[in-house]
Amino acid sequence: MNDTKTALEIEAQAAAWLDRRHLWDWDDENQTQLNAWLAQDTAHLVTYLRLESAWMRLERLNALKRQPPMRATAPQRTPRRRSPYAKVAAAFVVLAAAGVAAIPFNKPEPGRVYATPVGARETLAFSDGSQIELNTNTILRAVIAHDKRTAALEQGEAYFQIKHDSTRPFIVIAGKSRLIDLGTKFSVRRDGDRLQVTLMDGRVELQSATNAGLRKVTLSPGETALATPQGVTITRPKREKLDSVLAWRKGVLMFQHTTLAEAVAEFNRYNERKIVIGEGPIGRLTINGTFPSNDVEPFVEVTRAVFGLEAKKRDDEIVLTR
Amino acid sequence: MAETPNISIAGENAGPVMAESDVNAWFVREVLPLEKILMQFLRHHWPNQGEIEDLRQEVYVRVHEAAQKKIPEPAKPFVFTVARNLLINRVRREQIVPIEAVADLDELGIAVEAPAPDRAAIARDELRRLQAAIDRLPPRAREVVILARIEGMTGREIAQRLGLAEATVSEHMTSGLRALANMLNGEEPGAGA
Repeated sequence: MNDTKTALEIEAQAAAWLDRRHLWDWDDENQTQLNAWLAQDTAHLVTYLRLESAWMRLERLNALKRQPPMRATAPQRTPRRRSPYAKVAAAFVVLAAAGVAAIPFNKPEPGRVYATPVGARETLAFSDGSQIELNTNTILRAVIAHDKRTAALEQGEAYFQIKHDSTRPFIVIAGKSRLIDLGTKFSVRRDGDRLQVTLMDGRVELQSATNAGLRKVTLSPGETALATPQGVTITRPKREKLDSVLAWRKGVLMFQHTTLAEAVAEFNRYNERKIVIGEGPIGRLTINGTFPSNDVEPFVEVTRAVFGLEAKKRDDEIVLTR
Repeated sequence: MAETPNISIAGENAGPVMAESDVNAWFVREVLPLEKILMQFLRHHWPNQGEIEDLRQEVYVRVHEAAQKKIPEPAKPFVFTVARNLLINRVRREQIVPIEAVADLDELGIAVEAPAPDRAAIARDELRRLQAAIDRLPPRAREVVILARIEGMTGREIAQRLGLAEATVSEHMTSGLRALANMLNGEEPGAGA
């Protein structure tokens, strides 16, 4: 059917989908239609991806906009942002100037190493009253001394509850980013050079050496920063999403409209027995629910009952297929 | 939609499609940044400039479908091999292009070895590039995109703010988005502007 459509016609359709999805009311029915359209033809998918990536890239101007002001006030409740475009330009200039500052991000830190195996969790309590909980498959190196407090997250995920001490701020180093605690509770997850920081309480400054230079942002409670080599973006997730960030502390995974691909990736962080998704668009199905992180069976059972997927169990993996 | 209230097939909060699979993420991360040199290559080797977008789409389709089986690493030589084979097949099938075009294609090796777009340089220029691209949009499209993306307004709010019909907002949004994709993926920002 697509043979009659030119690339530019498909592009017009893809643009219309993005317009509808991002500017107008969007419900499950729309999403189902979009998924069907994307699955219908790879030409639809690649064209949509191309336009979507341009849209996503604009997000960076957003992160910029929030650069210079350090908000000490309570966070605004609304996720909509209202400051004028002129500020973006102003922030852009400021950043261009700050971009050359160098921080010894990669300097190896000594200190005690704490590690958890796959599927385990551990809570560390320090003499200064701070507490750090390590999630599955995590390596952390901590120095709590009279003159400084640092923790290097080599891999994995941790939840920090830091006792404020103005004489020795708590610094978390993760790859090319560092977090300077201003009295806080926050969660940090590191996947290679991708760092996700969610602030629950207090205030924290994130400094990140990106390909485009140094980025500094101050997070307010409820905000999530995503730092990659490409840049730093800030979002304000919905309440339920925020809860799911820390669900691991209770030994569960919480999914809200999570794609099967993402859900499986989560389970695979916690279990040696990996789940594999078979061919086709299965990974795009979305799922809600709360599951024990260390037991894949209930999850697999749900995919079987609800989506009619078949689970082939091999030695140390489970393959989900249609 | 499903019997269990806890489960839904699709959701309004679903993330970007580009984050939904490794292949999509790889495509956005590794293949789209090659668009500028891919377009140069296609323009150089294909006489009918009106077909360039179709050829580009066809290259993307083939690359994505191949990647669904196995992600080719590194991406660049693979993308250009696909492009080259596509052009050769077209030449043979359509027989409208002088056969010398095929000979030209054999010089592709040079094109592939030509300096890659410097990733670091691209990243350094990203903000400038974004701004230049936004600045080059037609005024109305620029306003709509900024209000939508930077200010986070809905289409309805934008229509009210700018005193436009909702359908007009959508027109500016879609045309702006398409122009941005061209500028961000391909054309030099500032070139000719």
